Amino acid sequence: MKRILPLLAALILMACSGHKKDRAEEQARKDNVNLVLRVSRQNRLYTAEYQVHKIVTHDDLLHLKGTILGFEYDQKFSLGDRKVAIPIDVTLKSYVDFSNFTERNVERSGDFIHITLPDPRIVITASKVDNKGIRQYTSLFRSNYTDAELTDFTRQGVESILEQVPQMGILTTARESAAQTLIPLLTEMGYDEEHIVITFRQGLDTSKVREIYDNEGSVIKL
Amino acid sequence: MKKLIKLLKFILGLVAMALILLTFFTLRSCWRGIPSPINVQAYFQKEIDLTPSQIRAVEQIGEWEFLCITDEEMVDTAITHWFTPDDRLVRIYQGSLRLGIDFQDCQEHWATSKGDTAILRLPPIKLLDRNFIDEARARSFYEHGEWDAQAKEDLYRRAQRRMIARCLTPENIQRAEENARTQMEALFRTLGYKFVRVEISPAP
Repeated sequence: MKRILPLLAALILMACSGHKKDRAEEQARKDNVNLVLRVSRQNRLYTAEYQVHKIVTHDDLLHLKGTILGFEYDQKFSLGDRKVAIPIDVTLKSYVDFSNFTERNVERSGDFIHITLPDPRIVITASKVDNKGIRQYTSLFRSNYTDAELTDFTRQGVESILEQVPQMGILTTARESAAQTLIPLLTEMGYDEEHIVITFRQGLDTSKVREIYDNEGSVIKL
Repeated sequence: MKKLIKLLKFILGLVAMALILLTFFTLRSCWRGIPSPINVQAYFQKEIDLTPSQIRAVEQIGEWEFLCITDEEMVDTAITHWFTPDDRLVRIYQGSLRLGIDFQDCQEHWATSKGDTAILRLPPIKLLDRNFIDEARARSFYEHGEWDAQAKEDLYRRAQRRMIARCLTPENIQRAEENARTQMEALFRTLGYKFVRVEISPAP
């Protein structure tokens, strides 16, 4: 009996604790369902890429808000506090869409060529969470942040980056870069560099994100 | 000691009175529709704090996109327990794979002209950026148990591999090549060339 007892205890301990399955076995179990696949033909020249880093923070404090005998109050309580910091990296690209580029965009006169390019647009092509860099601090009375909560904070973080896009000067870089891509192409085709003029439409309001942001192709919808 | 007990009794009395008043006003408000003079709401802030964004790198690029494939992949992972329910995490990732040419891959004199004919020798069509998943749009479909960073990183990599396998197919590369020919011909005709010859190096 004395010999069986430790064996039983070890078995119970093994039974209670979870164990990670082998990678190969786990891989076999994991189901993968293909959901959506949309293919679209494009004609876009990407000219500038911005790598933006942000640490998204959230402080989950208990708030008590209301009125007592006509007096309004909104009080924070640090009881049951929890905090999280999520480092994220976002890739922004600017492009010029040539889908509607027509003869009206080109003026030729002898050896001279003047091209008016369509308005540059901005799109978020990728966003990545640094999962290993996430830091969470949770008090005794609270549970850890769920994956759904962390995903929601990431989405809010990317949205806040978008709000700051007009201050980044990304469109200026986009325009310069578009010209620097097209001028060598035209010189290869035989035009003299001094005879090439590339301009953009005047009057684009770059201070409003909605004016320059590609809602269709981006991850965040405004 | 007696003073302390007295003080405790006093505090308890105040709390009880506050609770009675709160209950009374709440009930009155519910039954008669009279607005309560005491109104308390408890909530947790859902919005993130305002923090600055840092531009890590700015790069001038020259990538011409001819095909965009938007894909969603659902991947999951599990840890099995013998007696308690399994831990499981199911996430749905979204990504846009952009196929086209990178001007950096172009050889010297890739675009030339002979009279009214433009001759273009384009590099192979390729995936323009391997960093194409948008974690901001990832959804946590099901979560049970605690998950570490490595588990989430593994899910991300698996979704990335599956999207590449599903989207970077010879059929899609061919579609991108066809569109590249069509678009380049249209562009150079707009620039004034009557005939346009487009040669695309085959994908490796």
